[in-house]
Amino acid sequence: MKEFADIVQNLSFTNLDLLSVGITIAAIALLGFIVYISNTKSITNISFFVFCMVTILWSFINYSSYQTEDPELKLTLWKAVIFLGFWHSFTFFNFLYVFPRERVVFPTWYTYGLLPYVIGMSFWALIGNLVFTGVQVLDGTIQPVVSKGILLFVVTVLVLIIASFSFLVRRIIKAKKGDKNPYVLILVGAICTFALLFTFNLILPAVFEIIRFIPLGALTIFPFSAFTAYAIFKHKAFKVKDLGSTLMAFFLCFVTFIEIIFAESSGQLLIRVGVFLVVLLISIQFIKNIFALEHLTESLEVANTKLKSLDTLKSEFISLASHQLRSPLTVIKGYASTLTDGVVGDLTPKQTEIVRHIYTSAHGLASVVEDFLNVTKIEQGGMKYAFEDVDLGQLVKDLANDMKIPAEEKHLTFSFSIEKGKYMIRADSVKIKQVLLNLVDNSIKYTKEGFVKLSLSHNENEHTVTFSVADSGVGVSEETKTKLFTKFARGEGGTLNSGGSGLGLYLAQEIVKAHKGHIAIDSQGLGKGSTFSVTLPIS
Amino acid sequence: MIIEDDKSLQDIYTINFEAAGYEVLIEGDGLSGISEVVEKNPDIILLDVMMPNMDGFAFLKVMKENTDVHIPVVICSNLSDQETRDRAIKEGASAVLLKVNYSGRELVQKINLILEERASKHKGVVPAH
Repeated sequence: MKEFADIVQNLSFTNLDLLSVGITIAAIALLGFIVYISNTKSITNISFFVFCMVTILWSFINYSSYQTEDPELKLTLWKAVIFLGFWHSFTFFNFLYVFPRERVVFPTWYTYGLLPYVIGMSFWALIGNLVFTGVQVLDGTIQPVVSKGILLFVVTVLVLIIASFSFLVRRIIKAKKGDKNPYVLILVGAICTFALLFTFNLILPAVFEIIRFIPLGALTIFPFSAFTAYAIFKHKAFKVKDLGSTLMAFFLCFVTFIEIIFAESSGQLLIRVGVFLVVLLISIQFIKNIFALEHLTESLEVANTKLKSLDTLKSEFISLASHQLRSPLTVIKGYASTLTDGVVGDLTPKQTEIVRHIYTSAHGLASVVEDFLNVTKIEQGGMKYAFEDVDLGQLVKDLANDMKIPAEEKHLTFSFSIEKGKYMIRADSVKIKQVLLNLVDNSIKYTKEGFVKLSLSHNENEHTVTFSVADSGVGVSEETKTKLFTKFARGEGGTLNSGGSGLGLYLAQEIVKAHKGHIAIDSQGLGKGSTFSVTLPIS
Repeated sequence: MIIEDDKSLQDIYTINFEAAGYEVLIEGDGLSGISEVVEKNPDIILLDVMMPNMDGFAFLKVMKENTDVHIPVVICSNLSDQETRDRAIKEGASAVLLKVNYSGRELVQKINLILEERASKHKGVVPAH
């Protein structure tokens, strides 16, 4: 602690000046870089970056001009300050002219009038004698010999600044209520900066003869840079976490810069300057990476939004396509059933058989449409289940009543048995009924003679209920069993009925899985019948 | 009352319901349906969803908000998604049927059942004399 106190005590005023100017320069540089990296293609961001760089150069030369006692060097530096003064006010004007646009086509007066004028005047001041013609020693201090050309400089700077403010005020007036904030922020920053500039660089030297603060010009520019950078960030809805990481990088640069100020030997100074430069370069690269990552995230978000809208579009298309496919099938089925039901009079047996074929085919096609629709829903993760308390016992009884008729029409022995007990489950009754119906329908379809037996039982220990449908039909070979529940799989019965979608059992399995249950097949082999069972948890 | 824009389905439903002893009123879209529903006061409405001028959902909404009639409405559509089902029930439909699954006779049976259930419910709330 004592060592630190000694260092602070021995620290000259010049070191503190350098510290404040250095920090301000570093802050402006970093702000400029961040804004530029955030959107390298935007003319607003580029203009702000250029303004920051000119500010840094101007601040550094301005500061340096007061650190030397060499008259020739002093004159050159003063001329450079005027040269950069032209560019400083021009870049200020340019930034406010383009803000907040991303692209600007500059008008003729700008490209062929203002820009050549600034180039000409600034170089005249730097190389020629537009503002300073030489140096003289007055009261023991080196003073510049000022020519009348300084009026041209002052007028140019004033016109550019007034024009800049007029752009700003006009934008504030024209902006809608919620959009005024960025312009107001910039205006506040600009007012702060010019208030400081006039106080320290004009009023204090001219009225009170205090020139002590002129070298600290960089500090006066900082409010404008900071407010403007913030306005750009706000305007572009910057992410706070990026700002946090950036501030951390700035802090690292700042700490290493402080190390330079406190260097005690030239060797130490060299090493610390090296460290500072390395940290600065790494920080810039780090910030660049953050922006690249941010850009990538934004691209991903855009892609994600597009995918979501495509997904919605696809779902709507499928829903509409299914509707359009079902409509003519409804009419075909409707007329066919009206005829076979004898509503419009009796048909001959042959006519009845023909119309029944029409009905069955239309019904089969409607089932295929249903299966395709359901598979698409499952694969999109869009299958929705309306779970409710369902009495599976009642559901299976109704199902047995419905399916008894087609089974008996094929002269099959149809039976249904139910073990005593409660069969309440949590299920989507429509979908689970579809699964069981599908299994019974298959059994009837693939059984030429014999029986179809339905049964419902429960397992108290496992808290499950099992629905089974056993038949004396075509049976299933060992090889087929393994692939029976996959998409487009066809069992041995497929040869008897090629009209199905090949998706029924796959769908059944997926729906049962969604109910936390399982589906199984048991068969002794081809021609020996089969038993399908669905086990579901009790609610 | 049947509110359905498909002419063939209008024909099929009319044949089957008239054969079952119903008096059938046909409307081609929700807009003409809503103007007739108050005047004719049908026992039950069979309502399609996708129709020109005024779809089934809009019909349900207008009927619920702008009329005093309390007629059971059975949605009979070929849209099978859960959203359609949920929205129809939310808007006050008594049942939602997938058209393609019902033959004319089956639809008549289903409507009979709904009307019977409704009648027995009403009986239950009427105080005994």
